[in-house]
This record gives sequence, structure tokens and C-alpha cells, in this order.
Amino acid sequence: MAKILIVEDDLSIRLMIKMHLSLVGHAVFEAGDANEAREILKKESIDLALLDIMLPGEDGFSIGENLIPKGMSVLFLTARTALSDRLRGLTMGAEDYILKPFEPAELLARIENILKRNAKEEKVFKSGDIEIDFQARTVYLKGENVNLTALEFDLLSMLAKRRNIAIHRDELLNTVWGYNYVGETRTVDVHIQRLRAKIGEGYIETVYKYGYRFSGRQK
Amino acid sequence: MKRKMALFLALVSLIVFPLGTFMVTKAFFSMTMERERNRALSEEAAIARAVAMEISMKDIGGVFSTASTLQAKYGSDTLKIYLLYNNRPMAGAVLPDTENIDQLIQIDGRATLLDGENQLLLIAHRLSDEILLVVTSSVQPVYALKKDLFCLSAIVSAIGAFVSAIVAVVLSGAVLRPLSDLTRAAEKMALGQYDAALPAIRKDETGILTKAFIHMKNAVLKREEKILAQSEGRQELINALSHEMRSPLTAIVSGVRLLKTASLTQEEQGEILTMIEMEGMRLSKMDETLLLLTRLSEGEIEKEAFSALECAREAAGIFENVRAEGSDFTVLGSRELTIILLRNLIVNALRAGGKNVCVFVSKDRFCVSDDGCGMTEEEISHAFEPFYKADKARTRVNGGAGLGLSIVKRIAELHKAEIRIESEKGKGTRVIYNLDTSV
Repeated sequence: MAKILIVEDDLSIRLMIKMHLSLVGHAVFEAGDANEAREILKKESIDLALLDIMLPGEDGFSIGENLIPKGMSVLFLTARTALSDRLRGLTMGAEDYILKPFEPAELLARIENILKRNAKEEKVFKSGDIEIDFQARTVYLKGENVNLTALEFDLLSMLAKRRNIAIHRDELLNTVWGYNYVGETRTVDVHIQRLRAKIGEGYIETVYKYGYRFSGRQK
Repeated sequence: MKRKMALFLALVSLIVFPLGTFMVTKAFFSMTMERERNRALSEEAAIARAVAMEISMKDIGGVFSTASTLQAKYGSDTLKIYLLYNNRPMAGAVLPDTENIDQLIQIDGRATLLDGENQLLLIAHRLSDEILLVVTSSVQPVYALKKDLFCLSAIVSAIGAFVSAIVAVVLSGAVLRPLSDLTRAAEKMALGQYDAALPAIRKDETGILTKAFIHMKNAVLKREEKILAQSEGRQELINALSHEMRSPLTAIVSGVRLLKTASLTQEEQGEILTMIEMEGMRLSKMDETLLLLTRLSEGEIEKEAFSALECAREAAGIFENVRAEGSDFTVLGSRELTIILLRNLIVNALRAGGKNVCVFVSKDRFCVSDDGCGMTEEEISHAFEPFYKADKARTRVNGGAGLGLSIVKRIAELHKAEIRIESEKGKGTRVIYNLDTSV
């Protein structure tokens, strides 16, 4: 998927972000300060940099000032809520600015948007017997095309893009069917049944009392 | 109060003045009367001598004629002279207009009598068996004077009472106004307002009271300020620690959610569990810090005697590569708090980045030194401020609130010791904990 660099000195937060990102298929590189970040940037071609602002030594803004002019997509993370900080980040040319503490789902959504804007988002998911082309809107199982309705595809697409992490039924309903849909989440369950019937039981797991999860790692 | 005082004083003067003037008048009356009496007596004596002489030279007929000339010769408007022969007046003179005649007739020698009703002073003098000389002196002026004096005293009393009442009101006003001003000020102060006007300070007891009141007001204001500052300090601490707690808690909750709902490899699960444990420990450390700070704010420590060098060794022991050396001395203080103090300094020293961190013990002092990044003068001046972090990034010790040196400073205060930083940017730092402040 995308190659994402996290520069964050708090190990626990870094671990959580890394975990969420790698579960949905991104390649994650970690750094604790500006020096480590520079080492990684020399070796890897990074698609997106998540920069914490409060770092030991050189701060996130300083790193951003160097990367943004070179065309790097930058997303700032920080606990500093001051308007001046947010403005500084955005006027510097950062893609986005997210305040800590944040919901992982929000971070993932913002990252997805940034990647889409830069056409770096995931185009194809391949794992085991299944291959999903998000752009062409096709699904191949063991090489054979699977016919899905538009709704079924949207549902599968959402689950696959945020794979390995459970998604709540309500969220599935609101995203795929829209917020104005006057119906029950029962319809989600029904469509999941149909999907399973078409692509097999192994990919979509039920998360009890919560929702569903697509399991699979990109090869 | 004023009215009571006025009434009281008026009453008192209404009693005192009349009484006083009454007694004075009475005394005056007696004195004057006495004088009159003596005067009359001496006059009478002269008259008596003259008459006696005439009597001795004349016969009874002659005495009678003498009697009629006596008044003209010796008497006056106020002094009347009577001669009684066998208790009957001679020469057609009317008897003295008095009822005491009978008394007078009895007399053998000489006697005086005061007839208050007729305002006459009577002197009876028996010149011979048959002849009695009676001299009356009118003391009407004296009585008139007495009456005048009584009138005057009545007026004086009334005026006196009136003036006393006025004086009482004015004086009590003068005394009581400062008191009522102070009372008002005190009531306002109780409500938290400190701006009431205070009476001008005079050189008397009310002045002393006002000064004492001002003194008290300032003391209360100062104490209030101190308590407010302390309370603000505590609030800041709570805010900072709450902020610091948010991060670990977020990570823990996030980790648990992943464990519940994500499909993770064994390794990934392990990483998350390790992280949860670590953050849990960090929260626990923050809790310890809070408790320590509460203890430290209490002001008393239990003292014991212990070896400085051993204490330094124990403090340094949990770290790698931190030396403790020097010449030993005995410390009188809290061993546990001293270890906390040293460990806080050691952690700061380690974080400064150099390779050599040492705790050096010498006479009455501990010195924690490092060869790390050092501090600028600006940083040194702020170093002991609570929450100050020379490095803008988060610090990890004591839950990361930047309180390490505040704790160190407080422990030093409790031991009545001095704590000092010497540092050079780029070269290193020495922090000196000096237990003998007389040097």
C-alpha cells in the first residue's frame, strides 16, 4: 500500500498508530526524532509523513518545513490545541492536522483522503484466492470474476480497505447506504450473508455485538 | 450608646451641680452669718460698755432718757437698740418684733439668737438685775444673698447639665465614630471586601485600635494571597497531571480495543500487551508522585541519622554506570526522601546526555554532576519552577509533568538545606545539595 513514516517520540502512541496502519495494509516506518527520520527518508521513498510536533531536539514543524517544499505529503499530530499552531501547520502546506487524543478510525480516514488526493491510495488488494480491484470495481476469486451488486461491492470494498480492524454495523450502514437511509442494520447482515455466499466464508468475520471484519494481509 | 451617655451625664450633673452649689451656698451663708454675728457682737459690746457707763453714772431717770437717745446715738437702719427695765421696754420703744422675747428675758449674761422668720440677729445682754440690753441686727441682706445664690445655682445647674449633655454627645461621638467605622470595615472584611474607609489614625486608644486593625487586615490579605497561590498551584498541578495521564490512557484503551476487535498476529498481540503494561506502570508512577507531593506539602519529616555515602550508593545503584563516591559524613534527616532527591537529580543528569554521571559526597554536601548538554543561565533561572521543562519535549520521570526539581527543592527545604545548580551549556552540569547552610 502506501509507505508511511511516523515521527513520534511517545512509544505507545507510535505503536498504536503503526499497528492500525499496518493492519490496513500500509508499510510503516518509525522514527523517534528528526535524525532517525532523516535516516529513513534517505533509504525509503515515503508517500506520507505523520509528524508529531513536540519532539526532542528539532520539532515537527522544522521537519515539515524541509519536507513539504520537496513535495512530501505531511500530516501533523499534536496535543497542542492553540489556533496559532494549527494555522502554522496548515499554512506551511501540510495536508492535514489532527489533535491528540484521536480515534484511530479518524486518522485512517484522513490518511485515506490524503492518499486519494495524491492518487496514492490502494488500487488493488490481493491475498490468498481473492483479488479486489477498487478502481475497476471487480472481484476475482481464484481467477474467476465474481458478480457483485453495487451495494455488495461497496460493502466489500469498505471492509477490505479497512481490513483486519472491526467496523461497527452502524458505520457500515451509514457509509455504504448513506446517512439518510431509513432502514435497519439488519440489511447490513443480509448483504454480508450474500457476500459470503459469493466469495466464501473465510474472509469476513463476525465480531460479536459489534460488526464485521475483513481478514487478510496484502501479499 | 451616645444617648445613654448624654442622659447619664446630664443626670449626674443635675444631681452634682445643685448639690454642690447648695452646699457651697449653705457654707457661704453660715460664714457670712457668722461674720455678721461677730460684727454685731462687737458693736453690741461697744454699746453695752457705753450704756453700762451711763447707767453707773446716772439714776434711773437718767437711764430712761439715755434709752431714748441710744438708737439715735448708736443705732442705724439695720441696728436697733432696746433697753428693758424689769423686762419692759423703756422710753416707749416698741419691743423687738420677735417671739423669742421670753427666751431672751431669761438670760443671765449675754446671748445671741437668730430669728430666721424676721431675719433678725438678736443679742441680749443683762447689764443688771433690772436692765437688759437688746440689740437686733437685720440680716436680711444675708438671706437675700442666700436666695440669690440659690437662684444662681439653679441656673448654673441647668446650664451645667445642658453643657454636660452636649459634651457627652460630642465626646462620645468622637470616640465612637472610629469604632463604628471599624465595625463597618470589619463587617465588609468578613464579606471579602477590603476597601472600606478606615478612620484617620489619632494619637489615642482609637488610633491604636485602628493601627491594630490595619495590621490585621494586611495579615489576612497576605494569608489569603498565599492560600490562593497555593490553591492555584494545586490546580495547575492537577491540570498538568490530567494532561499527562491522557496519553497513556488513550494508548491503553486503543490497545485493548485492537486486542478485542482486530485480527492480530501473536507478535502484534504481544507488542500491544507490553505497551499496555508499560503505560499502566507510568500511570502508577504518576500516582506515586501525587502522593509524594502531598506528603511533602505537609511540612514535617521524621529524622534519623544515616550515612551519606551509603545513601548515595543506594540511590545510584538502580542506574547503570552511575558512580557514587567521596568521603562519608552523617546526615540527620529523612533517608527515603534523600534517595528520592538524589534519584531525581541522577535522572536529569542522565537525560542531559553525557557519559559520566557521578554522585560525589563530601563534608555536608552531595554533588550530582554530569558531562551532558548543560544549561544556559536562562534555563537555570527557571529550573526549579514547577512544570518547567528545559527541553520542550515531554519528560518521562515522575509521570512527565516536569516536577522533578520541584520535588528536589521541597525536600531540600524540609531539611533546611540549600540546592544550587552550576552549569555550562555544552559542557555539563553540577547540582549541589548542601546540608550545612552556615558555610
